[in-house]
Amino acid sequence: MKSPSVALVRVDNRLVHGQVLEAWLPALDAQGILVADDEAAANVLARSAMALAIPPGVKFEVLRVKAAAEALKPGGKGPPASRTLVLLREVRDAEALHDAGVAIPQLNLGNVHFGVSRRQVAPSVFLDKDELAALERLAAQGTRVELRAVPTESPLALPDIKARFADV
Amino acid sequence: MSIPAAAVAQGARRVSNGGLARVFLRSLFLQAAWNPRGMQNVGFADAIGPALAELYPDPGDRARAVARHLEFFNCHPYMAAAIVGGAVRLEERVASGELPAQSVSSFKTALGPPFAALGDGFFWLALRPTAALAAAVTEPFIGLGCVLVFLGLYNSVHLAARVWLFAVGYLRGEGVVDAIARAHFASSTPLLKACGAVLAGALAARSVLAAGLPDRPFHALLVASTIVGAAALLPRVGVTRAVYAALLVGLALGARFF
Repeated sequence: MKSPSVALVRVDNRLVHGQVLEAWLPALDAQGILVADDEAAANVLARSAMALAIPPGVKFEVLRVKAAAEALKPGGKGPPASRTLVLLREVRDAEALHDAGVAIPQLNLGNVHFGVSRRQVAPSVFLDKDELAALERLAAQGTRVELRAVPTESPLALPDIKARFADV
Repeated sequence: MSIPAAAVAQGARRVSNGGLARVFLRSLFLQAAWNPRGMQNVGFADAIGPALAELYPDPGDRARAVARHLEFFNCHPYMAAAIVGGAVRLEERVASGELPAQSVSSFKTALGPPFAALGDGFFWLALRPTAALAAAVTEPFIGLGCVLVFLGLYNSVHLAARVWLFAVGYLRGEGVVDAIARAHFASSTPLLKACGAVLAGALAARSVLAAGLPDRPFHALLVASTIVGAAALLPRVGVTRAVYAALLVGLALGARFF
């Protein structure tokens, strides 16, 4: 049994869905999924629907962002399985994890939906000014930020994301 | 569609059977106005429209209800039938004053993505290839009739599933998750994929035999190595490029270039 670890932290408004289960799990060889989201943690219907879709053998946990930070930071109880995929709904949750002391070597942006103050930087990703600033702060502290919906796409790095944001 | 007596509370507003049928038919066009901002939002609002028209006779209330359903929504287009059905049931309770309007929205957001994952796995990655392979296996016997076999197999399962999902969604409301858990979608997916793999093997074996008989071992070898090569290379070149390459080779063969 390999020791618990985090394979990737991903921002995805849709949390558990087809791209995550059919593309990312096999590509990362992930053995577990940790959803860190206050809304999902408080919604029993969301939790049971997600559990329904998780393939057998994959460890699955839903925690509030704060509880996830406690678990993932050094000295915490750790992720549920080896090579765990951590799913967050919003960019700000990634910064919350980081500020609580969780190391995020790589942050993937998958799906961030349209919102009134957000601009489209990729087919499935819309960002606002504050989110871009949060990503820059994370990058400045060593997080490698990349944008791609599925692992077979070529990743877009933060400078390219910024350029697209400025162009829109 | 019959409604359990207990579900019809005194004074509760209810959508007519004709209204439910219209919602179901419209839900077949869920993706017709797909867009990157809201994805299936317009399709969802349109599908549930006839139900909202019955539940909210006041034009202002109705417009507000439709506007609520223009929020972001995305799911697998077939699995979404369960959510459309469930949303109609919840809207009945909202219109009757039993639930806040927000509950419909959180129902849709909670179920959309996980149901999408179930649908991707079952319909796109298991049922569709398996139905296509089963049809391909019948080709030597019935020729182009195999196309009808595919359409018949795939659509009978897919349309029956949509009707069932919509009905279960409407009758059970939030209980739809338990109903779908008992339907073994997730566990039948690997089984269906395994059937597909067996059919693919049978098809490959038949192609090799047909190419080699009566005495053309070289052709058999050529077909066998093409199949093995395609299986090895397909994940790297991607389906689209592979289909174009196969089309070119097929045309070249048909025109007797080699």
